[in-house]
Amino acid sequence: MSLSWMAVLLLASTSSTAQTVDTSSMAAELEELRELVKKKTKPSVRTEPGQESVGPAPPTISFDKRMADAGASMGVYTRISSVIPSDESFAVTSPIGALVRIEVGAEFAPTSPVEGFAVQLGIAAGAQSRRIYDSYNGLLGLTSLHVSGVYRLPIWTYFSTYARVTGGVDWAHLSLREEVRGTEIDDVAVGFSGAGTLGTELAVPVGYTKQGSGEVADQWLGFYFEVGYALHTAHEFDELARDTNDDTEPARIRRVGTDGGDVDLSGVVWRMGAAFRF
Amino acid sequence: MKTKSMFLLFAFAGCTGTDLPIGDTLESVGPEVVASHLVWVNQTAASVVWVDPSRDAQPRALGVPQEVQHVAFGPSAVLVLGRSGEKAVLDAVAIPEGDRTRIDLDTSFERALVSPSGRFAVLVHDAKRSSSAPFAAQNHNEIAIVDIVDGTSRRVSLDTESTSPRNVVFDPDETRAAIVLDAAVVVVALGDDRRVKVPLKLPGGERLTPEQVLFAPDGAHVFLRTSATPDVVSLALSDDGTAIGGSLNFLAVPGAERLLDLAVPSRDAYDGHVLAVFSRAGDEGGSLAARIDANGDTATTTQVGLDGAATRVDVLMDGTVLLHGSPDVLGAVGNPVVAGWDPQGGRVEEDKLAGPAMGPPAVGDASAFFLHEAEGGTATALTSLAIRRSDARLGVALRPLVLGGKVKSYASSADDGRVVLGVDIAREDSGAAPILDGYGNKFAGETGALAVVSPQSLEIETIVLDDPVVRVGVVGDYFFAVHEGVVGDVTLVPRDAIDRADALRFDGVLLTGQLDQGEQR
Repeated sequence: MSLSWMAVLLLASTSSTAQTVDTSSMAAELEELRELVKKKTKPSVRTEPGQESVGPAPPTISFDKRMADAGASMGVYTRISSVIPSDESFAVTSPIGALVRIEVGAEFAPTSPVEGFAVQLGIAAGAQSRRIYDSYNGLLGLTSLHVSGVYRLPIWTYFSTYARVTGGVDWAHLSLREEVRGTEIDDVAVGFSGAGTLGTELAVPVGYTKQGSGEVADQWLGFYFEVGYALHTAHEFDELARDTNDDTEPARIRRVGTDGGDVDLSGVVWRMGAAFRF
Repeated sequence: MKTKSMFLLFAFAGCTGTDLPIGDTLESVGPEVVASHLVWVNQTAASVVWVDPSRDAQPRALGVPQEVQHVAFGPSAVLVLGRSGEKAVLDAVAIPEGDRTRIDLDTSFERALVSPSGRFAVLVHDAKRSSSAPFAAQNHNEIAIVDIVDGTSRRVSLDTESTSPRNVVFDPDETRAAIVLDAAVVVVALGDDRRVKVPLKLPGGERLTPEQVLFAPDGAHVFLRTSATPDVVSLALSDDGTAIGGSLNFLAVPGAERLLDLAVPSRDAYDGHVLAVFSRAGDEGGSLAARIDANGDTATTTQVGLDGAATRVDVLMDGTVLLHGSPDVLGAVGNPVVAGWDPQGGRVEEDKLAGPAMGPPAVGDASAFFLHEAEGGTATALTSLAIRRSDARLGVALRPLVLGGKVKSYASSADDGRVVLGVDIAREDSGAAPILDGYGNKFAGETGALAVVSPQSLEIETIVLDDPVVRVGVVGDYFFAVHEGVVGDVTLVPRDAIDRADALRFDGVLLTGQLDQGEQR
């Protein structure tokens, strides 16, 4: 709970008590209390020497409604994510049963950097490999372009909770490379994905800008963790083949690809990372 | 510390481990020809994979949910013998339909032998490959007869003094099978419970170990080559409808020292005689060939002596007998002998090859091809042997050919007698495409080629492939060439259009359906 809210509650309780005591002495005490509240809110307002702070107290913490009204913000993020597919076929290329990826992207929040709705656009990429059949290296890479909508709800001090809905398009690449001869067959599959996650974020102000006689926080660093479920369309690797160049001279003998089957990457997903919003 | 952190991260990321056997070494068998398809069995992943050469379709795969212990290829199905949990099972996968029939077995067996038509299979124990199945005790003197069509199995106790069977041969009508053991033959009826046990012993009691067993084309005899006698052992079978009877005859040939090979002609040409080749007593390097009456009638037995050391006998399509062999088998020196013999006409002609043969000949209608390494090891000599028979004489014509490159494998097509050879040649200027992977000279090293030789004209057609060859063969109307690698790389070439434009290459056939393993289990 913020100091501002504490002050308001304190003022309210003081006002109700004043009805049973001497009002003149209470007025003086109230004035002292107001001064105290002003001092309490001081840490988030920088007043130049010799200047008086004017206007409403500037926003300082994530759940402060006045701060949330600060306007649109942009941001960038980076995070690590992992989906834990329930499809056992995924084990062909992953010894750990999870596909870990790095995600980067940008965010636009139309109303507040720490509260309300935001939209994110980013890419995610990662790969898992394992040695299969004692002679091949299997590598499954997944690159996604995704859009997500986030709704943040402040809960306590710098903490907020949020819900995220993500949709995207996936490019999955499966390659099998023989270790001794170096021959490789591979295939690319395109699919779609969606995910719903719930998370919590710690957003702390790291930059300020002048507003009137003081400064308000306008740069935020967020650290967050979320968990949910991701749905992927099955990636069908039905044309596993050598990566040939048809323009060779002499031309190659015509090839028929191999249907390696499909893998469904749907499963529990978690993400954690950092965001810088301004 | 870093490793520990990564482990913790991954432990957080997801579960570890899988039941999929992809971490094991890939063990596979094939390709073999089944119903004009090329078929592999991925034993590690327990899947059957097949390629239809007549279409540009992708390979197909079917999982067989079991721990595979043995694979047998029949004419129209693949039999996969193994264990599913605590149970011994046999899966029969029909090709190309991909229908799987599971037959539960009462106990585990290590080998399956399929009858020529594919209707029956005999399951036997193999002391050398005792299964790891949790069956506390096994009676190795027991077999199972499986009716693949009906999907039934029954156990048969052999009751002999021998251990596990050495071999199984089926009679041409597939009514009986001869189970060959160390010192006995048990002939069992495939459709009922009748059987006859025949101990293999000399009159003095010495045990005979079978080394070669043939069923006569009419099913009336089983011919055996054994360890302790130069005689052809003939097991005459009788069947009165209620019981199977058997009696042994020892068919001796005067002057024979050691029985080396047996052969019988095709069913159409069979007239109750078995062909045999022997080393000749008192003549090191000489040999004898004989056509012996199965019942021991010496009046119809004929024989011929050869100066060279013939060790093998083949019967050509026209009934002519081809005798050939390696002298080193008999401890002699010199080039291999080849001879054509007309047993009924009494004519024989003998010649010698230019050098040691690389293996058994590719035998055609009235011809055979012998391969031997040319001097220097960079070329292969090919000797075409044609036996020309007229009313007056029989002639053996040897015509040498020399192929650039080294032959890795060869096979013949039974219907037209053509021989296909897989040859490795220098890639540079060969017509092969550049190397796909790697750096530097993209035309370095060797590539493979197929050379197809016609038996009469000796016309040679060649096609250069894009990778070295390890094995060639014939599947339906196609020649196939298996390339290096463990996951099944193969090129198919139509037999009537031997050129690169009509060839088709498959890569990684054994990887078919690998991502679906989890669904198949």
